[in-house]
Amino acid sequence: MNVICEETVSPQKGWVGNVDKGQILRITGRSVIDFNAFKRDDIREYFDTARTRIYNLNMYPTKGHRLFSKQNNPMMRVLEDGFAGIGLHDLQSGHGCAEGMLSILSSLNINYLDLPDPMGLFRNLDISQDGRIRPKPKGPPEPVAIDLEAEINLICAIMNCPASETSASGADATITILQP
Amino acid sequence: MKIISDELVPANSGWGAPMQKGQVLRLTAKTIIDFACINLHNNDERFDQARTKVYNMKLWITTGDVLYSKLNNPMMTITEDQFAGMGYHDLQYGTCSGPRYARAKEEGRLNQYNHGDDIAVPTRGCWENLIDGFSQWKVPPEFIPSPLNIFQHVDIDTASGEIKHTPNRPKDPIYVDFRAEMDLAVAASACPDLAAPDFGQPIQALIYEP
Repeated sequence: MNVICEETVSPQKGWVGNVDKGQILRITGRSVIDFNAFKRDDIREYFDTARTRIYNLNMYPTKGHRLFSKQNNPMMRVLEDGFAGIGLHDLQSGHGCAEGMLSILSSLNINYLDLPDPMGLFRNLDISQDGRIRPKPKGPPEPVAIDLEAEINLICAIMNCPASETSASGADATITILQP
Repeated sequence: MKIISDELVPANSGWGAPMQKGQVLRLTAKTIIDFACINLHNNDERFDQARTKVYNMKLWITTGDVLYSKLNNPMMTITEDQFAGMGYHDLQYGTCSGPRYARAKEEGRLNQYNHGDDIAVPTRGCWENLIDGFSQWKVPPEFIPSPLNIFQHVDIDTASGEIKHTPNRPKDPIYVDFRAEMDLAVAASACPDLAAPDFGQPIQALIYEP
């Protein structure tokens, strides 16, 4: 696989970029990272947490799942999930760092109220069987990666959150785009 | 109790109305109602599933719990929930819709959604109904909030995250009361509810002053 680009994203910083259909976006980190995706041809079509949960019939996105748009179209496929067995990615919480995400998306001209809810990578919630939600301060001990294959041409964005609830807040993240 | 409006909403259609702070919306049905609200004076401030779950710190809400907007403002409080003890309302689903039914049928997955394999699927669902319900306020389709899905009891294994449809619905029509905490536009969809024993039924939408 060819590496198209690789960038380190410091804590409280973000990254936005194009991921073409067929390319793989690898996000490596160990603290909470918020992730959003938009269809490049029409950003009114965006990654949607609810559609994604129900397409996969699961609350926690992991290997084999697909990320869906609000218009019920597939956007990405989770090829690998290095967090599996360690913790669970989150589709419940909404943004942990909305202001940062808005600033990196400034070229898309999105306002706060229209900012779609993200996938909270490495955000390890503790949800009890009676439905109570608590933060679970346990990220991966070492950086791990999730690989997302684009099914359409996308604009993807991540924000490396200043998440105080994980033990690993303040860790660098790495973005890699791979061409198979 | 002073009745402000009282409407019967036919199966698989949408309804919407303005309501004032302090008024109560009573939604009555025996099948799923997809429900959402927006600030009457700032239509971009919408009900938000994620904020609602995080502020209440739970997946399921009932009497005493509050519906929040993305701006973290309280929009409505559940003052009575007749479904309590029978099942939970859902905050995981988006909405059903013509495109979603078509995809599930094409992928041979209707049964996973408790719909049966051979069923003719509707060309519209709660997404289209909520667009209609909010039509006077012109909410763009992509910004129709993921709703509170009233009477949509879903089994969730919180360890594995697995979500399972169930046909668990009220045996007879029952209601949930929501007190408005700000001036609102509210919208409800009488869901086609293909998982219910007799499919989606009409719903009643009553607004009153307590």
